[in-house]
Amino acid sequence: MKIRPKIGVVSCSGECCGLGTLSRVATRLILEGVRPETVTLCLPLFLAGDSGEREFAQRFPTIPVDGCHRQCAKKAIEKYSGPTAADVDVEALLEEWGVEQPADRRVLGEADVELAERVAAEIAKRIDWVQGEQGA
Amino acid sequence: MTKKVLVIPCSGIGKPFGTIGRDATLRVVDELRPGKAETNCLSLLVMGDEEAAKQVKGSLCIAVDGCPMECARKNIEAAGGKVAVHMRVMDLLRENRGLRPREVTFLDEDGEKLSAILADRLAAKVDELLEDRR
Amino acid sequence: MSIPQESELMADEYLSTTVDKFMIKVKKGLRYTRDDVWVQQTGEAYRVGITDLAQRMGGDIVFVDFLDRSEYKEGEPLATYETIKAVLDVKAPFGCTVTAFNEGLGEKPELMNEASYGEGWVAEVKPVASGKVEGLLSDREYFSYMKAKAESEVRKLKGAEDD
Repeated sequence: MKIRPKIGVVSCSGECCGLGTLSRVATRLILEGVRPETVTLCLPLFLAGDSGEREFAQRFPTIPVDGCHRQCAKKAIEKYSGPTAADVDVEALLEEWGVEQPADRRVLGEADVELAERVAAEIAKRIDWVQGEQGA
Repeated sequence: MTKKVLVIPCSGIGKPFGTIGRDATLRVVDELRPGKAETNCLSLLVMGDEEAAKQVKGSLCIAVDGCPMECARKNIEAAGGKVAVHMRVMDLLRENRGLRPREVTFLDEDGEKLSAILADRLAAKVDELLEDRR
Repeated sequence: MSIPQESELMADEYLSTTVDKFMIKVKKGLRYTRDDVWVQQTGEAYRVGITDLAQRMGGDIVFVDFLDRSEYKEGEPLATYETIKAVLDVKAPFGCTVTAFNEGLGEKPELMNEASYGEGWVAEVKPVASGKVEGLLSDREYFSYMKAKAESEVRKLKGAEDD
């Protein structure tokens, strides 16, 4: 019997720009359908010291999804729980793809939602890789 | 002290309340009171970003929390900020019993309505704080 | 990294188990129903409330309404609590009358989430002559029931598969 290990995904807060909104939406898309077996951790709760969130990240592989190079989610996980299993830097992805970030940080247009789906696919790749490593 | 009011939402990702708080904050900062209110990432404050720390210590802050866990208020205070006004989306929901916001990723109709109500309240608080400061 | 197994922690006050990222607790020394209601004897009366599992599954509670009746049959709602997901019942654990409702929940319904076994109690009741107090589950019996129910809910939500 093959058991798929639990994976945590945690998005940055991302109020400062559209990259944070992309990061947040992509993480939600993972939970809602792309990889529904994952567990989404709440970063503000994690930062405020919630033991459930921090203990999960200590026990199970966790992937931070950061909007930008400041990598708040990754640094928070590393500080309070331990090394991350993989990570996603949305700013770096957009640079690689030659795509601009959303102009509006509150409301995503159709093209921005498609971009979020593309980011979600990248998160999914990392989830699959981590699960493959764990199942080996 | 800086001249703008700093509005910081919890942006909790597990419940509609977090999305509503975030959406309302961005409405205030970008649409209703541009130039008078600003926001920043809660996680930057907590992770010790120097510019964010200076900003929160030098500003009057409004904490916008989704639920009774009150992560925004707690984290702002832990970062040395003064929370002049604290609002919880859940309390606003109790005043508007007919609304049932369910969606988290993209706000549904009731989520949009509650965000708009909250944004108006926040804008009024921004005005009050700036008026008191004169 | 090895895959951790679920563990049942025998803390002083609670039986608990971890499902996903949540630790779900059952307070020792109380009696329970399959409707996720706990019961604690307080002299001649019994105090009742909802369990940790019930509050987690329901979500953030925004309203509590007490249902005023002269008598309640087993399984009839004593009160309802409203979250953004649904309106849910706190069901009478046995045939009873209500001697007091926790009026504080009107102002602070979140107590049912934050302190479901303590300050978040819902009502104090007295069994009527036909009320079956003896039929309630022990803490261990409810723990087994609760654990299976929680795991089933997570499986439904996640659609997890074993190959």
